[in-house]
Amino acid sequence: MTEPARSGRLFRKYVAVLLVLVGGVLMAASLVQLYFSYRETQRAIVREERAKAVAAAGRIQQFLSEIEQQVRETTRTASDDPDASQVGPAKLGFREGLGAALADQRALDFVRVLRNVPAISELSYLDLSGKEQLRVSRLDPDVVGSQDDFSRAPKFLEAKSGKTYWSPVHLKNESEPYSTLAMPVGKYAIEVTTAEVSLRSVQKMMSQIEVGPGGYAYVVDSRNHVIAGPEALGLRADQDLSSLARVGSARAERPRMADDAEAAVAANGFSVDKILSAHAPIGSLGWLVFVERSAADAYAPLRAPIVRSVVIFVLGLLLSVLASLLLARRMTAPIRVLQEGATRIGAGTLDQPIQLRTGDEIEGLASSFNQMAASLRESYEGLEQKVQARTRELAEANRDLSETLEQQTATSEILQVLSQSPTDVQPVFDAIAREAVRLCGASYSVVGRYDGRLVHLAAYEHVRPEGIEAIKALFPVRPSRATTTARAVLDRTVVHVPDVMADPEYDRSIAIGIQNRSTLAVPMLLGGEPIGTISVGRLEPRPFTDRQVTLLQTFADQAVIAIENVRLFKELQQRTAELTQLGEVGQAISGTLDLQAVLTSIVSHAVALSQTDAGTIYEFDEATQVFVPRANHGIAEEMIEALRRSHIRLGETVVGQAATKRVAVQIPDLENASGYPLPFVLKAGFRALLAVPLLREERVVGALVVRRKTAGAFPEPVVNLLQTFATQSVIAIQNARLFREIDEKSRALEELSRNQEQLARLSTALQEPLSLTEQLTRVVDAARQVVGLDHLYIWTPSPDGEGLVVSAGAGLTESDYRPLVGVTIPFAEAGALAAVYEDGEPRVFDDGHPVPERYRLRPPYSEMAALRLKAFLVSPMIARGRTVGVLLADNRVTHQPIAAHTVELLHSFAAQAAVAVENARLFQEIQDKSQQLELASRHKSQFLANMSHELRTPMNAVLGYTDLILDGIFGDVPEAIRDTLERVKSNGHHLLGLINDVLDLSRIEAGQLTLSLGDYAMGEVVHAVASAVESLAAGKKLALKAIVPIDLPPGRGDERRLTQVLMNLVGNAIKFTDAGQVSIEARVADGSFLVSVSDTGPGISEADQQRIFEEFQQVDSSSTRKKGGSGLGLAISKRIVELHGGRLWVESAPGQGSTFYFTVPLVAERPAERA
Amino acid sequence: MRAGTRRALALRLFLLAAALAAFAWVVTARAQPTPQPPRRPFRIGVLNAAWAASHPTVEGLKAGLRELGFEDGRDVTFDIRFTAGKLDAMPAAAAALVKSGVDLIFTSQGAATRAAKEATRSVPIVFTLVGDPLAAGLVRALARPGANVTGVSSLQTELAAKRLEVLKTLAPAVHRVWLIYYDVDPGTRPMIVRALDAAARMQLQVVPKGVLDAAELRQALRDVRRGDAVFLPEGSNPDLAVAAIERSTSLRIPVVFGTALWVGYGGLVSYGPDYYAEGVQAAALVAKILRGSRPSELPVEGAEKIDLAVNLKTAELLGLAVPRKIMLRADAFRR
Repeated sequence: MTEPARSGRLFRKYVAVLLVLVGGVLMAASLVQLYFSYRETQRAIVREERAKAVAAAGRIQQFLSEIEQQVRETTRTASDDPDASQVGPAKLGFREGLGAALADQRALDFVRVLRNVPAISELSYLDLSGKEQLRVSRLDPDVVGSQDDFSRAPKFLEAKSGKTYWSPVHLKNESEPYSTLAMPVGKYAIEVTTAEVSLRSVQKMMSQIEVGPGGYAYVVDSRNHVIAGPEALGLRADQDLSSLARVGSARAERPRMADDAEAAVAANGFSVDKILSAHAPIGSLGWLVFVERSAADAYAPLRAPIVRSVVIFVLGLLLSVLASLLLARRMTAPIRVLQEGATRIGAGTLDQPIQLRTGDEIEGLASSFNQMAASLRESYEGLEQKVQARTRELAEANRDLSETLEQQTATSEILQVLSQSPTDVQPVFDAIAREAVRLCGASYSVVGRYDGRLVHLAAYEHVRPEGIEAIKALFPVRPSRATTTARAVLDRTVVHVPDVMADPEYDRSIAIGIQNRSTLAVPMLLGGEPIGTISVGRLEPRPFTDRQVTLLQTFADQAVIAIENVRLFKELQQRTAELTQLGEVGQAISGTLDLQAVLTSIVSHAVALSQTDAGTIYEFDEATQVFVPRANHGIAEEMIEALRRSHIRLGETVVGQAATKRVAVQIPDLENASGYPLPFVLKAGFRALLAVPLLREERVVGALVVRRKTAGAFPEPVVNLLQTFATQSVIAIQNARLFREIDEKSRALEELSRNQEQLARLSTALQEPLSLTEQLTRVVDAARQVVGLDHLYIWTPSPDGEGLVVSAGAGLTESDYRPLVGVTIPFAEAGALAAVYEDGEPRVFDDGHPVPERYRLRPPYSEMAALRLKAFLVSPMIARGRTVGVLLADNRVTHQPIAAHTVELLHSFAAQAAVAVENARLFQEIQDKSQQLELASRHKSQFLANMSHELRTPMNAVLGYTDLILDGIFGDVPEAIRDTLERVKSNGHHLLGLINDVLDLSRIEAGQLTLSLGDYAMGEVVHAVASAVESLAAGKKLALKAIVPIDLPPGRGDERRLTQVLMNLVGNAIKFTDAGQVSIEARVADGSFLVSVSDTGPGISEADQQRIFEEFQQVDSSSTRKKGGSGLGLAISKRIVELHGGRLWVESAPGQGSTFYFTVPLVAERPAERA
Repeated sequence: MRAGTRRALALRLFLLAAALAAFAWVVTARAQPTPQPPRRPFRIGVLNAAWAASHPTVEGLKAGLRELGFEDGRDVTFDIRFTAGKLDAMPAAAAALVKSGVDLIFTSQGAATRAAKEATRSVPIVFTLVGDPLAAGLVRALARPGANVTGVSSLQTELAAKRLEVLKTLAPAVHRVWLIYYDVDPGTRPMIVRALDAAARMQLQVVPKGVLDAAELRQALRDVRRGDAVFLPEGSNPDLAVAAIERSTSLRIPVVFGTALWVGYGGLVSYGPDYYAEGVQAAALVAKILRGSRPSELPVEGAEKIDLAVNLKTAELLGLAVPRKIMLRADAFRR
């Protein structure tokens, strides 16, 4: 039912075209109108903006002019007097007097201006040469005659040329815009008055300009830097706007600003994307006022027209929809009538003409349809007759075809049977026999197989039972001419006998038996040789057609294929079975390393695959040169035993021969073989033997033998198969050997590593700092476990050195051990223990080596249960060549003899235990010593701190009184005494300095000096030190340089202490340098300050460089005498720097001067509190 | 397609079109922009230590806002909290203002500003009469305050030297100046440094004295001798000013004040910002914030109107001749 849809499509098309036309016109009209009104609005906005910009510019201009006016009023000076400017000697006095009076007047004038004009914050007066003579400020104190030189400043140069100069905007407090006004004073010789003018009023003006929603205004100076603008948009004073396109273009078109050209510049604003911008210049200053608002504002008045246009557009669309509906309906109605008529014609109703009266082209079309229907009706009638004739012809052809089809079906059925039965030909033969009877219209059929001599019955079909008996009786039959079957084999061609009665050669009796008259036979030929026949026959004499002969030949070919297939399949099966067996053997080899299992598997498979009855694998024993049976299959135990006893050698029996010749050797019949040396084989019923050698790299490994109970030669494939098994046997034997070796080796390794582990555990124990007893107990216990002894003791010399005591034991019971605790056996009575301790030789005593009298313990020690020993071992413990004790071991509980290797092992343990004993002793010693040292050092520091304090107080008094005496407080001091007192004073000061240094150092040593951390400027530290030592350097005529980059970051640390360090280094440099210079440099490197102090002094040798940082050290005592100083300064400095987390070092060489460096981190952390 | 049916259809179409046209006209008429609905007035919280709601800075603020188009009652309303000199009441008052949901807080002097700053991090704060907002830690930088606080600085530090100069000009015989400062205000430190620095150049000896209340001031002023002078910056507790005036007139000691207010009460001379003008100046900042600027981006402004005021009666009492330079510059005289 596609018709309504098709008419609907046309309808829609009409409607769409009309809509597009009307809608398009409407939309174009609206867009044009909108565009023009948008442009108009834009232009109006820009006009308005420009008007505002011009007004603002005017107001700013007025503001600036008023300021100029106010400042100008202060410029009535002497310069206005033509006489005064004629500078000459006669006029000078007058001019000076006048100048002084005028200066006062000017100050008052300036004060007045400051009062009257809040925007001015400072006024200054520059004389003819550009020097500042007066400055009056709102915030800062007034300055008279500062003589600051402004002769190069633009404000002076511009004003001097007679112009009023406004400087570019600059910022105070980083936010307030200021401009400097400079005005010439007088008319002749030009002096200059300058004023700092705050432009905040301009800012205020800008913020008060009403630009409309989202609009704003701003002013830029001649460098395009912002003077005032809206902060809300991120515009800040002094911001450079040169990069803004509209500012650039405003500059470019400035000369023709007067005309009201298209000034709208759409560009990126500060916060909105599109803006409308207008600008106006301020007088001749080169400043520009910009007024801008978002371009989106220009769209706002367009909203109403847009809504209107949309409504009109929608309305127009609706109307055009209605109109097009009407029109399209009128167009499509007659077309639909036409369509219905056409549908009728198409359906075969040709006698109903289309009725349509529209009077236009459509009516013409309708009559054409009617004519077409008429001519169609005529042509239908002739056509029917032709169709009937053709149908008859076709029916005949069809019969022929069906016969062929039947035969082909039969053929394919046989093919199907063939494919379903790949292993058996019988079903194929049966099918052939059946189909042959059916398709050839025969009464019987016979399928025969020819084996080269006779034709055997393979399959048959007969309509009568008695015929079947006759056929069965006939076979097998020799090829002859007596029957068609036999004749077909003989002739190797198709034999067709239309009537057996008419054929003289045909055996009548057979013909009667199987009741045939016409017969047909075709041979099955494979490579030209007959392998069977197919024959059919009829009870009545009627010849077979050619088609039937061809069919039978096809059957014969199929039979041949079936036979071939089955043969190939069987061969394949055979081969697969062999491969499977081989695979199993291979798996057995790789799956198990048990050689016996592998060989047994091989031999059983070999027997199975070679279709023999028994087999044996021999291994060739190289030592005895005899083949030993290793694996057997299919033979009795007695025979295996007999084989083993036979001691087959190379060259003997098949085994020996095969091995010697390295080829397979066989005996097809043992009964016929003479001289076979193993009669029991024949007796066991075996008739045939086959042996293959097992060879590895041409070396005889063994042999594989199979035995068969039937006589006969072994065919080639069997021999080959056995060779394969032989190879596998070799691999198996080889693998097994390798495995055996690896297994033995790894077991040995395991043993070894167990021992290693024990030793390692022991040495770990020895390296930990433990108490001596703990150490020894561990060692002893480990030793006892490893060696396998019942008891083990360590005897070490007693603290008084008089005898031996037990210091550790293992395996001891409480009752054994308790009596020994605290017992010292004097050397004289310790027997064997003492002997070993003294000469360092280990000794073993047992039943074979009883303890001699001199080595026996004396009572009461010999009475102790633990020491009543007959068999025991004593081993010395020797560390660093010193005997530190002895080991005593026994097997008193188990009564096992002490083995020789135990003595060895124990000896090595004894050595380790000795090291432990020695280590522990040394460790204890060191710990004691270091504790003593620390205590001593702390006492020293404390003492020094106390003493220094005690010394300093009276010292201050001494110095104070000395000063008083020298100041003459107690009366005049005679010159001689004064001299002495001066010495007292100078030495006193030196002593006080020394005491102070000692105090510092001892505080540091005692951990009492802490840094008071604060922020500091390294630059100030350097400069403070430099200015402090300036006079000192000048006194020695040394140049003093301080190099500090101005951008050094602030640091955190103890400023006072760092100053002390630097002071010390610089002081030293000046002290030890006699000529040249001393320079201080500070910079930042790797997050630290790096300060260096270099001098051109005598330098310090490599050896001395270490010493100078130690307390009380100077390079040589002569220099100390000459230069003075405590020798503590560097030590203290080093500590202070280190407390900051920095480093102090020196680089120097004799004669090359010295450079002391120190680093301190920019931010020093408080060092961890020390006890 | 009978003619009757067709005519009826045409009529229906015409009626539909007419209805659409009428609808369109109505829609177009409705689409004209309508004026924005009136916004609720901004609420401005005011916080200071004054004794009355009509502190000059507040009056200045109101006048300034009116000038900028913010009508009191229509566009802005004020919630004024004054603590009558009690500084410890500040934090509670500030918290109350924040809680009441004001749009902006207007403060005078350091204590109120600090309290407001601690009470809120979001409500904008505009301060006045703060001597040194940077040193007081109220803003991160003058050009970019960085937080919700900006305002007008009284330039206490900047004016220190100028005040000494005014004192020296009016009383040339003075050699020692007692610089009294309010000890709890960290913003006074740079001012003291500046004064000491300037004093060295003017051959004056400046003695800084930190006090907490009038009693301590009186204690401190015991050491003042004839020939000395007193320097009392603005922004301190009013009690101090009153005590200083008393001492000044009884000992005949010249005192320079920070603002003209005290000259009216008998103070000798003042040089510094006008409170009312500072309020007006701050109104511009308030207006900018109400119109959407962020306080963190509005630079702190220095007071624009700096007045010199002298009390001729007191000068006469102290036996000082007022020089012309002062007379010319002075904005106010009190007899």
